[in-house]
Amino acid sequence: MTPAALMISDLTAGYGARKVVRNLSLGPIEPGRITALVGPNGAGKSTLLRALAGLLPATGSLRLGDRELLALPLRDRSTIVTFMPQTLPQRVGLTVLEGVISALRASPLAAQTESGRAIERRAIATLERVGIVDLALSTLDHLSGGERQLASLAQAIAREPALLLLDEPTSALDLRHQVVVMGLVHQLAEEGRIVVVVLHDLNLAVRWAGQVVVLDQGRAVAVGSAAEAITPEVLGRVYGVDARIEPIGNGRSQIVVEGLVAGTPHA
Amino acid sequence: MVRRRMVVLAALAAGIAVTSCIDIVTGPSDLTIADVIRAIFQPGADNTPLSVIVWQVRMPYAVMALLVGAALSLAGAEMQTTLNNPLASPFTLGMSSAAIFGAALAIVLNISLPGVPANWIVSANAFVFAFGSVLLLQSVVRSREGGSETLVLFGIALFFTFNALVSVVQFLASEQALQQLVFWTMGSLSRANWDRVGMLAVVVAVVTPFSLAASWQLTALRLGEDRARSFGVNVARVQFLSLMRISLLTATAVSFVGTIAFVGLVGPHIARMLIGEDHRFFLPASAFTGALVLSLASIASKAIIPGVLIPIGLVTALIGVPFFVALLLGRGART
Repeated sequence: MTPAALMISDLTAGYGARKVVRNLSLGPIEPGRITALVGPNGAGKSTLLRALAGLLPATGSLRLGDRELLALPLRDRSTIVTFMPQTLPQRVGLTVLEGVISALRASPLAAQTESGRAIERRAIATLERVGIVDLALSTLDHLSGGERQLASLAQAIAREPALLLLDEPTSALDLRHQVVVMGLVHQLAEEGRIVVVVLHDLNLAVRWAGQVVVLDQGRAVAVGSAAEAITPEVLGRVYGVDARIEPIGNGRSQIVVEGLVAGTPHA
Repeated sequence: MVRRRMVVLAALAAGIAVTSCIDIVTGPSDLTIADVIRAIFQPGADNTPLSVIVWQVRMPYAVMALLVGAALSLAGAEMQTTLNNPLASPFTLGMSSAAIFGAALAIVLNISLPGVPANWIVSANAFVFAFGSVLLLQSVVRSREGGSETLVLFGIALFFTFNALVSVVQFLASEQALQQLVFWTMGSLSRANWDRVGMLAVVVAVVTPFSLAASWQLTALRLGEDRARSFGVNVARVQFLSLMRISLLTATAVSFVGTIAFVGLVGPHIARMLIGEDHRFFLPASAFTGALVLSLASIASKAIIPGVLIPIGLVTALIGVPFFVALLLGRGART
């Protein structure tokens, strides 16, 4: 089965009466590459991601192939979509392996089809894939920040979602773990998944994303490849910063921020 | 991993067996172990004082301690998970206070129904109020937009409201009614009898399988509410059903013995340290630690001052809380 693309049309979502994302249309968001959601604080990145995950009430349309995600009940949607929050909660008395197993068994549909042993094998295979099988029996609480994030990622991908949604997966990570995590995410996309990632660090978006969506005040103000969407003009308009895009060899580039755009307030 | 946990559970069960034997042997009338064993295995000799003491006093007290401990601790464990708050317990969210208020009203207003013994009405009213407080909490669960903080704050508000109402009733109560009220506020096993033991046993036996059936959903909830929902867990429904079980366990236990504050909080914490939070093991382990703790408290309530039965709620507070603090500090030092 060739994975279908995601089409967002006229999506409105928010918290109660406060709609953060209004009438947003976007797409196709294709499988096989990372789609990065970037934008300033409060632009609606996380709101959009949570709406895609079905965690917020939303109106409009979210079509994945011929399926309308907004019409699916949560339990069916959870077989297609997995959301990975920014962090794992603190003080959880579960091992890394138990975390993955409960991700597999919590769904009302999951446990009926597979035996406990098969699920355990699948969980271990996922940990091998993420490279933390040696931590399988460590308690989540005893892990470093980077290891926690890998454990969290393992929980999300164990379910083999067609649509993987990651909320700032690199926010608390050192440089090495940023590369490890983004490398894995990139692989997951290349295997034919739709991967949507909220990123704060624009240089990570430039480095890893095949498609970049710049959000501002709940609207998509620039969409395209990193080079197309992240331009000095867009950065000036959206972030209010004076920035250059510097080529750094190998066809890559880097964003260099000089300061604030003249005339913008410091707030 | 699984085997180690089964060993821990078996060890707890063995501990419970030992402490409940000691509990039955301990008491103001100096019975020897041989006396007790003889009385247990000769139930036919009904009217001897020995048999009456063992069968009508010691055994129902001991079994009641186990059941109340298990019920409150299981309720506390589910509550800490579903509300994502390590301080949640039937006591801290106002259910116990509501039950006491219900009991206090029944005592002071001297409510009576023809053909129903007065102390049953007090228990029934305690149950009605505890259950009502849970229904209030549940209405918050259904209507809320925010996280579980709202629910916890609401529970704390209930706690203070019902405590204040109990104080009002106490202020207005007659001398004699006050005496009875003390039983509820301190928590005591002294009203245990086989009927009540049987009722609580039925409630625990009915509720526990449902708790265990939800154990994977509850475990996933520990990984975060958003994450669990994205795994397909209907969090609102899990919370609703869990609060239903919690209210049944708590209301029944409290309506028979009054407030026993500390067990529902500490039982789950001890279980968590011993066995982790895989709820297939964590929930039964919590029930076991609760039973063990209250069984030990029951022994202490008879042994601290020989010949005097101290209300068990006071014992759990006086001995239990420092023990709990020591446990927490000990854990802090290790990590």
